[in-house]
Amino acid sequence: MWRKYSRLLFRFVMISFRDMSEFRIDFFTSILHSLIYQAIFIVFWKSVLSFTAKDLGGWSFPDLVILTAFTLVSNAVMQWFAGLLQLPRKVLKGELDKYLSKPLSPLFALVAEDMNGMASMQAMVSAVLILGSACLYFGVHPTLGGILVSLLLMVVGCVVLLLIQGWISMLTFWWGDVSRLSSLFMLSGEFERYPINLFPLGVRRLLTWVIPIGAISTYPVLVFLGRAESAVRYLGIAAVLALFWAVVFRFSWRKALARYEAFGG
Amino acid sequence: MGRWLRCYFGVLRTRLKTLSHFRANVIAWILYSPLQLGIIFLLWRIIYHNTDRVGSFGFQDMMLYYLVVHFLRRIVEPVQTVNYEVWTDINQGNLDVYLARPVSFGPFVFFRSLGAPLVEIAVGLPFFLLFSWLLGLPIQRDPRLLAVFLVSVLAGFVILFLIQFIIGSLTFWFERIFGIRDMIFSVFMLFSGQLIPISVLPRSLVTISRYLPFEGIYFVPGTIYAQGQLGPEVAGYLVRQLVWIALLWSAAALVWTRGITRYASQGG
Repeated sequence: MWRKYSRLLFRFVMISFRDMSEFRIDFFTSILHSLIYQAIFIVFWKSVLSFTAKDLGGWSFPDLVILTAFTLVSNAVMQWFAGLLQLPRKVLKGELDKYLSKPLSPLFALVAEDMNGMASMQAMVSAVLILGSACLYFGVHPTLGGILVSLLLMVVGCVVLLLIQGWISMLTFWWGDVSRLSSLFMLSGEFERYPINLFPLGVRRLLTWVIPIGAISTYPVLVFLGRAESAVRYLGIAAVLALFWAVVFRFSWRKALARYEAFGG
Repeated sequence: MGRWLRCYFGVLRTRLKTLSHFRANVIAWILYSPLQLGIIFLLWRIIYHNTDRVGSFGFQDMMLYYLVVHFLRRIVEPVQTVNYEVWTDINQGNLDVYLARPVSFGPFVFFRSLGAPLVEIAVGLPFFLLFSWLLGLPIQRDPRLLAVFLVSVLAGFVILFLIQFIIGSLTFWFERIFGIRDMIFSVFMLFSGQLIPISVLPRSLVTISRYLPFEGIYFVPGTIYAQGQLGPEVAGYLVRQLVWIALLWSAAALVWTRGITRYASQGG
């Protein structure tokens, strides 16, 4: 079974790359867009810090540039699971039939079909460019262990957020169109751009334990910069949340499929 | 004229019904503003811990600016999908349907895009007043100022619509326009005053923004309301908005008339 799924996954990845690279102008403008978009947030921090003291609650300009670049890394991970966001539309239009009638996991097919491999690569290239330049320019020297742990923490954090996002998308089976509910959840992702340890305790807890935005931005950056209180603790929290949401997701998915009906096509 | 209006208002009515159909969506829609404003409030409270003023903005001024811009974003932002709608219509050959009917595609798309903003005004206005009251921010009551503000908002809406329409029409040449669109809208984010007031940016960027149409979308109406007084500066803002509408309108017409000659589909 694993061989079959690996083969299929490989094919879907190749299709995703071919699909995106077909339009070459779009490919390069997308990378340029990623860089400009992050540059805008760097300008934002530069403008703000020019009116305040040297730093913002312990976060200097180089730290904030690195935080900004890290949002691209999480974006690169999330791009592989963009199919989850298509779930509400496919359920409403009855397009789920296509996956249910095939001899493979419908969830796998749903996610694999809409993987944005190229977009992920574009985001990652941009992230590496900004992170590398920032480290060189500002003289930041992260350790190899710090880099690896921060990446691991970020991936686990992304898994948690994806499971929550997927679960919200699944509510379509019961409530109809929930796209704005998804947008509301994604809006909380705006906290990703800001150091959450500066926010009041209640907000910090919410963004650590309930919607763990901290696990994909502030905490990995602190680990990367070697300033984390306890990387193991952050990883532990993210792993527990990943486990919890995996169970909720699996249970809900079964219930949701049992509820699905369409005219077929 | 009556038939013309009935036709386009029918499109608008259908759009309104679609938007309010799913309750979970309506609830999420209502909660969107408090959450977004909450994030902005928390962020700027932290920033103002370290300083009294950012540019010419005190904390209250900054909150008023963001509140107005947030309200404007809710009204204007649904039009951001116009480029995608035009792209879909051209790329999937749906354009045939509109070309075969006695409607002009541009006004059709414009009226279709008006539905969501009208709902946003209905949902957003109570929130705007509530947040103004909660944060102790002034509510402008001068009818002349409000009239000028509304004209400016409408002008901003038209500017954004025309930019979107032009980007969508580029499909005639590029097939895939999303890279260009995203790039333009990254620049837009900075120079429209959505992320931060333009006057707070470094001086070189402030100068660049004067030569771009984006400031007319959020910064100009936001500043007119937040400053609360009419004067030559406001007149200058309005003139600049009108000039941009004229320029973009001409550009949209040119791109459309040139592009439509390249259009080909299999029919259906």
